[in-house]
Amino acid sequence: MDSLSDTTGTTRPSLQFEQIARIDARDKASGRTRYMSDLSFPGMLYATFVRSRFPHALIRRVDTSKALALPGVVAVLTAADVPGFNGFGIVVPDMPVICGDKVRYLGDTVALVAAESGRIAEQAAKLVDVDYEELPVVDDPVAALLPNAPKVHDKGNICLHTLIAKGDVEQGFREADLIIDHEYRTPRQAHVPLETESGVAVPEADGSLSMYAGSQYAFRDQLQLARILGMNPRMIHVVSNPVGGGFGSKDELTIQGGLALLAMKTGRPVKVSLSREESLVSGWKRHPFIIRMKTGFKKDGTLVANDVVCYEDKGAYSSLGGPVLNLALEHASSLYRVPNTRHEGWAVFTNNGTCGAMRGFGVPQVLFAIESNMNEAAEKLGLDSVTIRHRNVLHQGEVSPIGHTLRTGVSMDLVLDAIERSDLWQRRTEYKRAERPWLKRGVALAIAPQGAGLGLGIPDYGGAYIDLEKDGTFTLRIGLVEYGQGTHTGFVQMAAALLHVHPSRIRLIAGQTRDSVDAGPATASRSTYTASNAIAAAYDDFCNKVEQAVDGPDSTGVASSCTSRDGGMETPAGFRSYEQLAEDYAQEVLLRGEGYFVWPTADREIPGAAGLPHWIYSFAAQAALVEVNTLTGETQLLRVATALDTGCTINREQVEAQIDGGVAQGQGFALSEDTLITKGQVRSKNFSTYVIPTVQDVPSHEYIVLENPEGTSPLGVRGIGEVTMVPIIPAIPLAIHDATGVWVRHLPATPERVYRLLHPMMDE
Amino acid sequence: MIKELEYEVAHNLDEALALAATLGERKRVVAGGTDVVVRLKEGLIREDVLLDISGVEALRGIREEDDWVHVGALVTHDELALSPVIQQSAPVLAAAARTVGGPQIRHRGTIGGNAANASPAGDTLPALVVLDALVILGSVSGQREVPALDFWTGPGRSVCRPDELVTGFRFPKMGVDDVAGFRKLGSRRAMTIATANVAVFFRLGKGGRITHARIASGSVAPTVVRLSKTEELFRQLLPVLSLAAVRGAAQMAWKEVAPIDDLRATALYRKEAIVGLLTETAYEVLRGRWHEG
Amino acid sequence: MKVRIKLFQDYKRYHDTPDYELDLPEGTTAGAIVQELGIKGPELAYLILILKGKRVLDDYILHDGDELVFAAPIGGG
Repeated sequence: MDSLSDTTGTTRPSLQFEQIARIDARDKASGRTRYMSDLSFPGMLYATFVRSRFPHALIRRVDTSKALALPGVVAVLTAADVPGFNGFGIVVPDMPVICGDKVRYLGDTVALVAAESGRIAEQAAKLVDVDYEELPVVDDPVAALLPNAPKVHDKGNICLHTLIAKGDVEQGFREADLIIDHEYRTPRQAHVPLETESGVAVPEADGSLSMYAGSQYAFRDQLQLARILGMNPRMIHVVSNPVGGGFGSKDELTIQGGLALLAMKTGRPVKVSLSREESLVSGWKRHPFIIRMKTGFKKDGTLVANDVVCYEDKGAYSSLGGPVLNLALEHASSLYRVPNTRHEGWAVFTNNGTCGAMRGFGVPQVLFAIESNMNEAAEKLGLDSVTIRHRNVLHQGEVSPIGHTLRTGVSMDLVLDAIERSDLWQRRTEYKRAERPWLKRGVALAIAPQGAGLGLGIPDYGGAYIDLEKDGTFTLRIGLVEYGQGTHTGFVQMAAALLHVHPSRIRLIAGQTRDSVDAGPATASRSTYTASNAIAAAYDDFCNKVEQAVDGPDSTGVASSCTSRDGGMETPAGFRSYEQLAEDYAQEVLLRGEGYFVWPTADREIPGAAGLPHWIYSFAAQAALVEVNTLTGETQLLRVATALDTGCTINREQVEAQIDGGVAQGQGFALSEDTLITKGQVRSKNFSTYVIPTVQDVPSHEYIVLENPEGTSPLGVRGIGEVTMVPIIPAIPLAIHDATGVWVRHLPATPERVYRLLHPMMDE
Repeated sequence: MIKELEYEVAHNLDEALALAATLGERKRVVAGGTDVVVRLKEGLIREDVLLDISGVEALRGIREEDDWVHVGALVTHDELALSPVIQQSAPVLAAAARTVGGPQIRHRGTIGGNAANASPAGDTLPALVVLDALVILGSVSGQREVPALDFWTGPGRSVCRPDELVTGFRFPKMGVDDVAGFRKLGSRRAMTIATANVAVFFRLGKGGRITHARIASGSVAPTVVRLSKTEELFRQLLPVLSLAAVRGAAQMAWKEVAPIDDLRATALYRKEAIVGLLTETAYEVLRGRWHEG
Repeated sequence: MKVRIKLFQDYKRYHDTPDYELDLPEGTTAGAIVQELGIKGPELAYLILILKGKRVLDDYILHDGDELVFAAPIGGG
């Protein structure tokens, strides 16, 4: 593994982040970590979700009598048993917890069973008799927009329509010397976290409910459950950490609503852990996009216009499909200087499963299109792919393609320069030598911005507490969960650096509504950045609290003179170790620093586009070396170089791990992953047909980590979780083009698709 | 949900054969379990007794018998891949075994199971065919041997009678004039079911000409198929390494396979890909012996 | 005392302007504003109140200069 670091300074340059192994590594590697699927409670029942038999049908009648009569069955619930609001959804609660009158995909729940064993619950599920009236299946998002199309929802099939325009694209095309106009299609990627949707709902003696289920935002689960149960949220406690992998699949509720209903009905703990097959049928997916992109260029490669129409296959329910569409439209011209743009999108309901949040959140789809059009233009204009990007990348202070001024750091040029300097790019001619006449190698690069945080129009916030314990150690409380990103290790390192103690002196409590602090969801590349602000604010407040404690009532309480060093603090009364401070001031009362943070946002919304613009972006560039077998169409990803701007690196090993994982997930998107659904029926229900890369398939890596501090974080950090998987997605098909001359515009680039492009007519 | 069924364990070969005779069509034989357990979970096992033969010592082991190699039914894919005897005398079988599943599956799954399961996609099957292997079937009434190619009769079907067990395989050792290779087309480098696979065996005569050719392919027809017309074209090749000539001969394979459309690929692609796979495999095995003109 | 009210998402429709100032008697709770706006049912169940990044409950007693945010739990990307 090669590596390279560029450091240009950080906002608090004196901070040293102790480079430690992941704080959860030992327990996870040795199997001691108890995930929600490992939990067991006395008297626990097992749940089965009775799923729909049809992708689109009316429910005439549900007869539970035979199921209820089966010995060992404790409860069978239907829609009539939902005490509160029978629906959930982060933005629009249009997904029923139990369907009463209609089903819209195969993962819909028509009844819930709780029984003494999983086997009995499964048998009982088969005995629930549902009388359906089948409806025509809506499976084409473009056809679903036609006026006479069957309706998935009463209000119609349009979940969201957004149009963002700037300048005059028609005029732009008239001025263009070259127009590239194509349709692109992207897969229905599944998140496939190691742990499927799993959890236990436990009714407590005081009438409250404890929900143990891995999810990306305990505090929102709490309110969604309150809405379903018709209960005071204070009577619902959610523990959503640890999470056995997420990638966005556990952002929205999954099994929690059903478990909560069963637990409250039976008065007993109720558990479920979905099979992989059930998870692949019912779980959230990445939205497939059809993208029509017409891009105009001047002879020198300068962009003059980009006209984009996106059709997002929403599947059955809203969840975050609207925000996904809008983030895609924000990025449809990347951060290139395009004077005339028209970005239009339709999020369309279908019976093709149901889609929601997934790492990248709409950006991978559109970046595939724009980066492909850029390379094709470069080739036609006789430019190289670095030059054409340099001509067009935006800098801080310029106006974005959707019309807002970029006021925070823009590192498009920095990551582009860095990837150009990579060993893979510099020596690409050597790397491209293949050993057999039928093997062709190619190298291509792509760059990507990724809007971080939740955007404008949403009060994006987060809090953290730093508690001094009686023994002089610390407890850091923050809501953000760990689902594999390594963020918890980073949080502890940040607090340790601020407090000047070893990270082992800090215990973390996260992802639970009772004992941690609401810091928003672990999504949108926002965890590390949000935490850097909340923890730094908590540290500043902790300094104030120490000063107040030392000075007593005389303290002003503002602009503390306390500063940390060497395992303690310089106070108005001199240096005190944290043990001494705890001994003197933290025995009777809690010495707690509270920090709260609200994300900076743009002052003006993009008209007609809720959530836009984003204010802070992540940046990465990636180059890919592929080898294509022209006899079979197989593509191997051999080597990847990644140039990533972390702002400031908290933990180098975790940054590299995020790159490894991001590349693997991007590789899956580009080469093999797609949930195949025909007429609403899921055909790829397990890992033999839903093809993720194995350790044998992943490439070797070259890491280039840039540290160009983000000015709005006291530690200078940016989120990196999503952007590490984005540029690799266009880079792979573009490298296939470099190798073979064919343009792949429909991902994944399966062997058969690539073969058919190489051999368009039957070769007899 | 896995259904409830009876479980019988055979401790030695006599017991196994006796149970096979008694249970007949009621039983499903389990060796490594890598196919049976998956099918059980999917509700595809119609038999109501599992006959576990994994403890039958007599079915283990690889041994040389003069010019022949004998492989017991319980030999695992891992053992095949790592065996010096197989690597020396039938490297095409070692190569095929190496492509099966992942380490866990290769550690459990057996060659007997791969053959008896009779999947058209079984990776060791084309290798057995090009090695001219005999499948050894045992029963209480005695033993018989069936040429590998005649063993399979359709997807999941073979000539193995309900009272018989596959007890092993034997095939002639490859000689100094023999070359062979295996290639699998899948959706990734490991843990993949063959979209198509091919095994190639050539015996080279005077001047390097191919005197015997055996080519077998899987996942392109209801059973493994021998591509005899294609073999004929390879026998006609001049012993000069030429990708174009190899490809020209391989082209005939297109007409000798009868694949279907499924989730992994269309029939048309399979027909064309088998030509590519064969071209590549034949070129690879010949390039050690032939030189470019 | 003066308190600023900011309404987000679906809660915007409870007032003519999403961002306004109220002159309130000392001791007014956040819950009183919720009631005053008439937020009920599923929307009440899904409401969060935020004060400069800090979640508060309906029994929170407002102070002069507070900026109280009404929002649904945040999400997106």
